[in-house]
Amino acid sequence: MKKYRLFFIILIISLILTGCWDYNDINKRNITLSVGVDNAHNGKGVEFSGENARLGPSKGHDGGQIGSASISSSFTFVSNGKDFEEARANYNKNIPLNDFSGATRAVVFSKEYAKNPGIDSYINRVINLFGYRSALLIAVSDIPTNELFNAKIKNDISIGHAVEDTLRHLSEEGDLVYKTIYEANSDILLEDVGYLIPYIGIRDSSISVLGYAVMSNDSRLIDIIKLNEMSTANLLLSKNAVQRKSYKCPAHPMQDISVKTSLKRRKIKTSIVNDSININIDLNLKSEIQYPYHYLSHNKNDIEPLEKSIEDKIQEDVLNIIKKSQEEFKIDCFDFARYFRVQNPEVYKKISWKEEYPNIKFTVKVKTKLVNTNLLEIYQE
Amino acid sequence: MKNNFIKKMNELNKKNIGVYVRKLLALDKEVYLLYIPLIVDRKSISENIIKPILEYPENSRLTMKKLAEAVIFADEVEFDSDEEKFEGYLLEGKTIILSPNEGDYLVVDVLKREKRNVESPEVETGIKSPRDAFTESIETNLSLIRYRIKDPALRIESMSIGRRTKTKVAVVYIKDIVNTDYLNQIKDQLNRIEIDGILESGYIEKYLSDKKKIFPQIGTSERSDSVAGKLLDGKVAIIVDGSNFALIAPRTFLEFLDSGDDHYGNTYISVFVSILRFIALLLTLTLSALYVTVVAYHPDILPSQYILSLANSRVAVPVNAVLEALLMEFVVELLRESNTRLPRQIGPSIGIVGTIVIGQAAVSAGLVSPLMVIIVSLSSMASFALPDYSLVNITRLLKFFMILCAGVFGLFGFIMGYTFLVVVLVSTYSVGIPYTAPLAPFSLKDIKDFLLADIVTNKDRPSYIDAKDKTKR
Repeated sequence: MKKYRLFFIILIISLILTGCWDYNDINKRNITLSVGVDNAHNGKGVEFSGENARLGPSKGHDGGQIGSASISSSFTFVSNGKDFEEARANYNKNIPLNDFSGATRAVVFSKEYAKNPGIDSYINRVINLFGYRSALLIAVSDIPTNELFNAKIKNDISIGHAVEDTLRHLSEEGDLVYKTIYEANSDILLEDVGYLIPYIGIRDSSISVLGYAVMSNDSRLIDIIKLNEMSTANLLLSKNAVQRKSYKCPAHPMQDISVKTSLKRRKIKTSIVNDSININIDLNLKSEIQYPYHYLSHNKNDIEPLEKSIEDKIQEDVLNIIKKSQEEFKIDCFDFARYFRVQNPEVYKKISWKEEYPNIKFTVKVKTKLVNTNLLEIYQE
Repeated sequence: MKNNFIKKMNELNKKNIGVYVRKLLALDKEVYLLYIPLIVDRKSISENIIKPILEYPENSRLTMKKLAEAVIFADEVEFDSDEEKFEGYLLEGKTIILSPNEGDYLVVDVLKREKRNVESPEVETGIKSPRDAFTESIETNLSLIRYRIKDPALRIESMSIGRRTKTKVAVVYIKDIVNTDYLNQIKDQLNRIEIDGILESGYIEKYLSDKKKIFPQIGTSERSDSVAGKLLDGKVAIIVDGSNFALIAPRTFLEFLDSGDDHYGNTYISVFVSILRFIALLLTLTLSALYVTVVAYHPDILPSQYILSLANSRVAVPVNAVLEALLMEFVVELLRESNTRLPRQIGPSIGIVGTIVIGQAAVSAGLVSPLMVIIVSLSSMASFALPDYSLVNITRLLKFFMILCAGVFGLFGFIMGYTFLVVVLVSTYSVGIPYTAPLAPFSLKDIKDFLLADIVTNKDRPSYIDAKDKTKR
């Protein structure tokens, strides 16, 4: 008996300390799929919209058999309060079961809320509260979240699913960079940088990405990077950025050639010359010809000018978007501070990156090599 | 009269142990035959003992020595003079031939054995393995081993255990391979057994095992090829008369996952199935417990899509996860147990009733979730992949222990239960050999040899056995 005493003591202590007895099985909890945060309509306080999974058989669906494993629909609750706590308390009054936030996939902020008061306090809340997933996505919507969550979409079972699925698949394709709530928090903690989060809306009854919301360091929405500039921003942020564009063939003004350009390597080098900060960006790209618009005969000498025009176009776009960040946004939203901090740690401590950023001199070098040229009909001389 | 044989004979006759006395006259010399008709071969007595004595033609005096050497037809004849041993000999199925005038009597072996033929194994089935399983007769079993190992160093030490049953027990080993330390330990333990009866090798197994440890420490095998293989590894086999299972000691935990026919098949396949069986063991032990943990405490460890599917599949289930798991596992154990006891003709049909009717109906009635049915069937299927029945049995029990741990403390309890089992495992010894060898104490070479199970690459005997002859070549 003496031998087992220790074992029993451990058992009893853990029993008292863990307090797991009030846990409920997952089907006895209210599964939150996504959360929307907005300013309250009366202008005071916040409004939560929570999208919750409706478990069990659905009405009017043929797949709604007992014990079937797919969820069929979701329902939304909206609650108001002067602060998060009050709004949450009001929200809890609506939901039928204990809340389970471990399956929450996305937090969506309305454009107005992101502008004022800013999203950092909610990020803080999620980071410090127990139970959310660390891969929780954040996004800003162009309409009030109440409207967003009550909208009917046709291509997914819930808004939360749709937001996550859309953002993830675009990110896998190299068309988008999204931030999880923890990554955004680490940007906020860096103090000198802003960050980009996906800007979404509802178009044609489905969730659609409209661009990037540019967030300042105090997490307020400054501006929007539009859809047509997104791929350029991706070249500076994404690991697998891809651009699909058609370029005019310099030798044949009639010919358009579809080119898929993907990032091979991005090298960002920072230096200090005569007390001013220089940043050199080297973009090494792989350009694949996807198809020519017309069947025309090409000379193999046509390739080099085409490469050059791709390089020039991308260089121009990148410089433009950086200039925009320096002059319009006035915030480093492309993470250059991280490169500078690593490469010049001493200088970084002394300067205020926020103030220096608009004066930084950027040089962009783009190098690309066209592959798949055999798709063009090239005649030999 | 020169001896007390007749007096003793008359005493025995009164004792009602079924002794039959046959008096013969050969040239006016009285010869008595004593035997118990139930256990002797009476035809053999008539043909080989009585007939030659009555037909004894010579005129010279008939002595016991002459009787043994020139008259009776029997292969096993002993001389003895102690009349107190009469009873023992008779109960062993021997016939005693005595004469009132001589100091020695003859003991002739005419035991009649009821035995069945050598059949294919029932428990340790394999695909590419010999089909000659042990029977209940110790002679047959020993002959099967002898037939496989024609080595003069193969030793068979017989002893008799059991005050009343006097069961024959044979300790078999190869003298120049076996480690004498544990051979002596086993023999000591066998000699110390004080019991009135041994009816099955399981009795001996219990005496050789540490009662406090839950895992089986002695291997059992009904296949002679697998026993021969273990003997060649330097182990000791214990064959018990009346049992069709041989005991093998020492036995480590990993060896319980070795089906024997791994050694005969393709090496790649044997690596694959070894790992497969290890996974099967883990599945049997933990699948239901993990389900309970995830459903009740930590759904967060799943991707969010799975959380929804999981929640939705359980939505109509009224009981909580722990109860659900315990209930379903209980039902499966019930089915398994009833299937073992059922006559062979109706066994399969009950299996169908069990799986389809109970599984399907319980799901549609909303008593259990479909996932639970999958988990329970998977974990019991996995348990059938384990080759050793004694390990399977203990895993069945430990499964419930794991469910309870997980049900009370969640993932924390799950890990706690697991740790407890690992502690028990590493503190177990089989006849002085660490149970978890070669994992702890660690030996990469032995692990490799175990996994490959390839007789060509595997040149040495397992190092943890510390055999006298360490190499196989």
